[in-house]
Amino acid sequence: MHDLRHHGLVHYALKRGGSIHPIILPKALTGETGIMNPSIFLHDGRVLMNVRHVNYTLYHSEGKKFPHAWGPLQYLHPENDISLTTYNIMTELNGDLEVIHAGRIDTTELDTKPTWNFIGLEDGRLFSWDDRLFLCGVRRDCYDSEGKGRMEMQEIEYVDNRWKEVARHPIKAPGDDGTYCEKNWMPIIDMPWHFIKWCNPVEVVRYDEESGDTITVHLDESKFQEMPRDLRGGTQVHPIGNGQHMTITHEVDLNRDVFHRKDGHYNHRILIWDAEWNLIHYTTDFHFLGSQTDPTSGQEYNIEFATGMAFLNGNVLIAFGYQDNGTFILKMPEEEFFDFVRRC
Amino acid sequence: MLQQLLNDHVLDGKNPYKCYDLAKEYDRLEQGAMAVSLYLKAADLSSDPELQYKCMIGIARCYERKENRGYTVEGALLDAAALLPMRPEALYHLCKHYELKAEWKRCLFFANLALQPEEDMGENCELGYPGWIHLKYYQALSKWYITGQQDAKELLFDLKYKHKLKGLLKDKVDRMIKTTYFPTAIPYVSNDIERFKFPFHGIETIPKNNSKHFQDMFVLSALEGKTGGTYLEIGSGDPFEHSNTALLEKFGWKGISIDLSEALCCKFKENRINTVICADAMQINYEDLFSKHCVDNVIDYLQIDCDDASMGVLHKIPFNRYKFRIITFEHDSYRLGTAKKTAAKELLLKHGYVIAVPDVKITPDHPYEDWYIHPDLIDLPKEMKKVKESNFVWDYFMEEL
Repeated sequence: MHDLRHHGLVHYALKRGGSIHPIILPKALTGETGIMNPSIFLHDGRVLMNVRHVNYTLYHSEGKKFPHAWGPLQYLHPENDISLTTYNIMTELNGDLEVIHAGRIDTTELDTKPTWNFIGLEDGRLFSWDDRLFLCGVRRDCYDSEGKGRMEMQEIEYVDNRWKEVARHPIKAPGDDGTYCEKNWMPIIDMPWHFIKWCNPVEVVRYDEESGDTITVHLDESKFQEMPRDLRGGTQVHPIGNGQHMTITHEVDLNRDVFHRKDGHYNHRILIWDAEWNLIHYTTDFHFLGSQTDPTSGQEYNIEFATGMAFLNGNVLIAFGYQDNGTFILKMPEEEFFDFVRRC
Repeated sequence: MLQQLLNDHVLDGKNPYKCYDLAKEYDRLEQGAMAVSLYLKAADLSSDPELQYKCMIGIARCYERKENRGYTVEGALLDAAALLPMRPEALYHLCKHYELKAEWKRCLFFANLALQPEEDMGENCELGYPGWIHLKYYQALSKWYITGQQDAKELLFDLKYKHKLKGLLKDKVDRMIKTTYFPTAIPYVSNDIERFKFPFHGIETIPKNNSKHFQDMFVLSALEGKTGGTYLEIGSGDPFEHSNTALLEKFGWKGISIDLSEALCCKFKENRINTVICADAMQINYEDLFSKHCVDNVIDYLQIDCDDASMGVLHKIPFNRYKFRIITFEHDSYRLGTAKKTAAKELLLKHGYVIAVPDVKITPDHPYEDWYIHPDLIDLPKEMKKVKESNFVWDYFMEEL
């Protein structure tokens, strides 16, 4: 079996007819800070992708040889600006997965004065329901001054040669809406207004646009499975036939170095549910571009995050962010991809 | 290019050199964030200090392009400097960093450290290091902002006039000199010998002259390195610092110096061979003085530098009985106007002198002396006869670079 831990899925794919596609956005648009957590989606015959652009550049010394003075993992935004600001850049890609158009989504009409310092819609997943195009991510800048976060659907349209936010749909948490922060809900592509809120056990929720309420439509606590870590939301949830659905989730080890400074390690995993939302298969955990390993403890370090997946012309396209600083698309023949899913 | 480098990196993911090559390509494409991640990854993967050094400089330069990441820039550069402390590139970038923050003592520290090796390693485009001369600039700049003293002005002067500067550095040095102004003195040093327009016998023995603005070098050039000459120095000042006759004394010249300051005259007597008289130059009877000291009626060099009294002293010199091969006369027309200059010129021309070097300037804009010769007594070397209307001393004596 391929050494996924050592090499990562991209290496695996390249050996099997796959390819890796770097996303380059102009400096004028990004100021050279991080572009990450892309979400790819096919819409009206076009390959669209949202890219999260932040005002920081992550500094992550995976090997711990050159940590920043503040620690091995640091979010370096301007030293006179404590906010963590997210902008969303919509791109259109050609058949070779090159950017042919990129522009920041104009949110100015609906923006309000931030009440917390995480500003903007974070980790937006791109999808379409009822012919309306949405980004769904977490917003934490408008509820209180302590970081309360709620999922939000941002409806976008391409008007006057630019992407524009035309409506915001804040999504309450099911029940009494009393949680501190909701994030990483995954839209189910073929089930309008439905999300997978949590993966283990799976919780499917439905958002009612009219009332603004959210209800849980599927949750069976008895289906909880022992897993090494929590399965957190990743890409959209895609139908793959026979009533089955597939997604890519992520897992995080947050740990500390010898001086108790934070560090992190991200893994991904592919999950398949049957028509009754039974988790019928999950892969081993994997990286995309690999990690670095502490030789004394075996602890791995890397930051990656996949938030979009699409199927195009016999290939799977997985869009992922690397170290919060770079954006890539992994293209893999469907046959090889499903072989990987089956065998791993 | 990017695609190939990315594939190479993915297929050989633990190879730091391939990772570095990919980082450089992202850097070239102005994708600073991704370049940072890859530089850092390459540095972590590697155990080669040279590669790690390059990576840390790469990281610093990427953060430098973004606003307000100074602490991170500094940290990465210090990491690089710690890896290869004798290399100038990281130290140069640290100087640049501290320049932006106006932290001049740190800037000077790193400039001096980088200038320790005798040899200039030359520029390194890959690491954004433009070369040794830029470190000299930071040395001069920081010295100026720390002390505001002459040594900084001298360093800036050297940069401007002894190096062929280009582009931005040239503009920066020109701007700084406008701020700091020129040094009080512009010396000749032995390193200048190749550019010196009027070499003379014995010039190779001179490590550094004494005059403020080449007066001693003019005398020796005009008289082709004469030894055993004679002089009258009115307003001698310090016996060495800016003295027009200390160098002549080393060439075996005899002469009389006059100054009003008791302290300077004492110092003169203790440290020089020739005679000094402590007196008011206006109160001296020069005929009596010359006859008392058995002075020949042809004297090689007369200096008159008595500030406001210069004109009065000039009138007291018995030009009808004594002649001078060379006279340097201070008129300070840049600050006093031309009346004094004109009066001296009238008097000296009447006695047969001609101006060999008019309006000697201490900067390209500030005339302060005229240098005369007596054509019956001296035939200037051919090159020295090319008289211009005004003459900044450096340009007068030195070939262009």
